[in-house]
Amino acid sequence: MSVLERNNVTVIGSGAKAMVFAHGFGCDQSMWKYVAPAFERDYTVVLYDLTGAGRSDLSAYDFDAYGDLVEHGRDLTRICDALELDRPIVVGHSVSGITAALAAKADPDRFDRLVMVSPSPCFLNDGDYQGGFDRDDLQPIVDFMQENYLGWAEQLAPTIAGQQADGAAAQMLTQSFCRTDPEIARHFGRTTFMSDRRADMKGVTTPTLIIQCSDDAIAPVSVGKWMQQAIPDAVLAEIDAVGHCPHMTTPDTVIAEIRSFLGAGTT
Amino acid sequence: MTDKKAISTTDAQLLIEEAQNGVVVTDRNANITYCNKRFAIWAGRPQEELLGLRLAKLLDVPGRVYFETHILPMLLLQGYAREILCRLKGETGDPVPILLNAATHPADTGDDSRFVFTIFDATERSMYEGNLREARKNAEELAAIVRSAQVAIFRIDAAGHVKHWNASAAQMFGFDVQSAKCAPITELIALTTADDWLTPNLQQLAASDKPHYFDAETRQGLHLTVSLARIFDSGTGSRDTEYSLLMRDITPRVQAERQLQIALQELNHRVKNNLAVVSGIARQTFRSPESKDETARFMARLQSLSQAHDLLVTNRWQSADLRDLAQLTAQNSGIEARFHIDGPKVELPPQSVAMLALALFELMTNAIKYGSLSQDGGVVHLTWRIEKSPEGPQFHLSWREEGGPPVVQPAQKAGFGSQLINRLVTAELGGTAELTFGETGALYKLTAPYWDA
Repeated sequence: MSVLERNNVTVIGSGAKAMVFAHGFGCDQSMWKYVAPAFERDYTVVLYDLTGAGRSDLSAYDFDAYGDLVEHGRDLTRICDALELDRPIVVGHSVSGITAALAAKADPDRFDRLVMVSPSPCFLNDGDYQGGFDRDDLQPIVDFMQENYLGWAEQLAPTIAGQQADGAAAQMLTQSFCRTDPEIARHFGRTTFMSDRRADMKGVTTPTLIIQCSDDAIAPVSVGKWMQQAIPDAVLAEIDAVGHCPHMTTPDTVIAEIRSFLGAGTT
Repeated sequence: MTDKKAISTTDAQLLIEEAQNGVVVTDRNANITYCNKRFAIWAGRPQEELLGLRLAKLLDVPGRVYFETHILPMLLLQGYAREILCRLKGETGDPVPILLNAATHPADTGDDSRFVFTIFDATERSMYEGNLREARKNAEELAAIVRSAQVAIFRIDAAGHVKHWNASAAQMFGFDVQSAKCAPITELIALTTADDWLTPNLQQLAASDKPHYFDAETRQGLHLTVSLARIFDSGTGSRDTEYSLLMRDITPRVQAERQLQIALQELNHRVKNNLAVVSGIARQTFRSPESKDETARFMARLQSLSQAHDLLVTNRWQSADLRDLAQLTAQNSGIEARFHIDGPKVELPPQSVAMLALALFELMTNAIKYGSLSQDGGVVHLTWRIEKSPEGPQFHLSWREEGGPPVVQPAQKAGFGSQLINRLVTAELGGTAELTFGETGALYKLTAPYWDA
């Protein structure tokens, strides 16, 4: 199975420059449905499901390897390599903003620009750093990911196994936007919320846009500011929005911020 | 009014306001625009205070994260989210477990549509789901033990057909998954005892409340120790008893035991051979008429040693029974009836057996020559006992001659016999011994800390 099948990669448009969209923790590539189409005219738009999420090949989720966000970053590079993308722009939401940064740090010339939507390199409050959560908060968050998946395997296994998406199965499929194997959900939750990648950020030399919501319970404003200071070539766009998913709740603002950033001279 | 579905506006308002479930309407970003009384009670605040608040802020921390990463994206992507279990966190008090359903407002369409949340009290469901998760976790942990156990484990039905087995079973008996399912266990595993080895073992199991254990050998030469037990569980839908069959491969152990047995036999054989060679040498060496008595005495001692050795062999060199040793001594005297032997069962440590055998032999020959057995009516009381003492249990052995002539202390310097009696025995057993001569024969007393305490 190629990485393109494994990660359910979708390619739309035929612009010379490619934009790769990486969804964050929770759902799948459909999270970009209000933002990605706006770029289809000028760019080759690439969407994919993170390994272990959406309609990716769940059997490819290696619990040891994906315990480190670096592996998700490698997936991003593998997909870009498989499509032979020349210095694409990467747009990553939440944890995928961080994995894009890790991929860019590992191979500084691989990406033209990075756009991080609501990123957080560390969710834990640590001294002066305000990640937004205390240590006692984090474990229940991870456990919670499993609580809502009782009986998941019985319900969704047929869809995942590749049955035709019609009738009852299609209903299951729509529910699967934001569902995955509970063990994977918990493991990815742990990897996402327990990671501390702050030390990697100063090594990211790619020009970066950070889109920060003014009221986000998951990635607070203080984190966006920290990110801008840590990444050498970063611009911070603080937008007036509530929540963690501005690309879904105020897509036009997000599109405008990305356009403005890219308009400032792509190479 | 002919429309039976009709409901007055007042009625509808009352039903929603006083409903047993929570009803919340929010804008597209989950800010509350309406909530009913029930929801306000669960949230622990007056209805007016809740207006304008973001619904996510009323959840506990994990719920808040789940709301942002799952619930709201699901609503925005597919227009609904169903049966999400989370917790409302009031200003005070414990969080209330709730079951949350959400959908686009039925009156709205398009990108600005509001959301309606229908919320149920999930205190009980939350509890039993918690129990269920715990039970499943335990079951999975147990199943993992079965999966990875180095013991072949089968579940068989009442007819002896295989229902489930673990990886070790497939590996140990080398069968493939396809053919094994539902096959009779007696076909999968052929034992040397009988084609149908299961039935007699099931009968033995039926005869008691306990699992039935037995050793077996397969026709391929695998040695097994087997346990067969009834399975008591519910939920299988079957009324027939089913059984667990556990088989441990003990082939290496059986082989090691066989090797040991062979080595022991070999050792025994060589020791006996050497004793025979020694007696041959002695016979050839002491040929003068003057040494005839001593030679005979030597040969008799050697004979006694050889017999003590036989006692050890029968017990695999682990110990020998003192009673056997005492009776051997009596038999060798040729006048067994004049021995009164009495004492509890005592296992002698192997290193002391030969010495004690020789000591008793010396006492016996002395008794025949000079002591109570030298004249009619004389007897020997050979008795022993274990007694408690402040230093721990003590072993006492007594050889008391009765009905013999007065015996005096031999003038001669202590010979081999008395050395054995006094020193070697006590050195081996770590005790003391005393030999005295009285009016009716010898009296020998041995005391040592009891080794088998």
